[in-house]
Amino acid sequence: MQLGLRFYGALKDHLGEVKHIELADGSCVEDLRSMLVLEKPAAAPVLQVSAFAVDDRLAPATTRLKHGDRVDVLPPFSGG
Amino acid sequence: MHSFLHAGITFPLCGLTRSPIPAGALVDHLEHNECGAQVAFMGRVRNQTAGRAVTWLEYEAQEVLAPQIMHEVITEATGKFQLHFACCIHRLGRLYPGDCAVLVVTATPHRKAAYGGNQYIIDEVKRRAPIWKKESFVDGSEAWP
Repeated sequence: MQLGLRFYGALKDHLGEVKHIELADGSCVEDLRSMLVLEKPAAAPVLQVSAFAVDDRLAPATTRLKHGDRVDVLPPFSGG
Repeated sequence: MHSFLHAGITFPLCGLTRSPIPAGALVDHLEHNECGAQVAFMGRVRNQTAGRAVTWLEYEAQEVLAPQIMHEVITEATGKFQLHFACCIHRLGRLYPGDCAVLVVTATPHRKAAYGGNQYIIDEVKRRAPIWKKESFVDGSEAWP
């Protein structure tokens, strides 16, 4: 399946702002995190503590992804 | 959702803006005569971080989720502290030392709840709202805190 990814904060410096990827059917958010860690080990410390949102809803690690999902990868927040 | 109307510009009572936050004017505009306490918190850009001189901060957000979460926080605070009024506005884009990055206003009949509710809102928004800032320093370096 194809996914559209958006990265924020420090992750943009490692992975760019927007990315389209292929992931095996049936994968979940945690699988996506693992794939990104493998692709960009330097970003692993941030990815391991990042939250995810699927189509503008926060998504726990077990959330099953589907073709066409837009996934936001959200590093620890630093507003204020 | 209610909004401020100031100088022809509508500001959300809760949300994000790329425009400067006219905090003083917005606070003056509030009229809650049943409230003896009104607390306004302004988060301003510091001119240094850990001793390093700051040139600017660049704020960004997940712009769908952040306002939703800010609204949730305000709803929670309104219930917990019996707030008669609450607002939270966060700025996006490039800000310079002294600029107002975030404004939280609460109003209640008595001061304890106004302080408590205000602190709850800023603490939870900082903890839960997907907003980030990049720091740029006078020495040319940049960092995501």
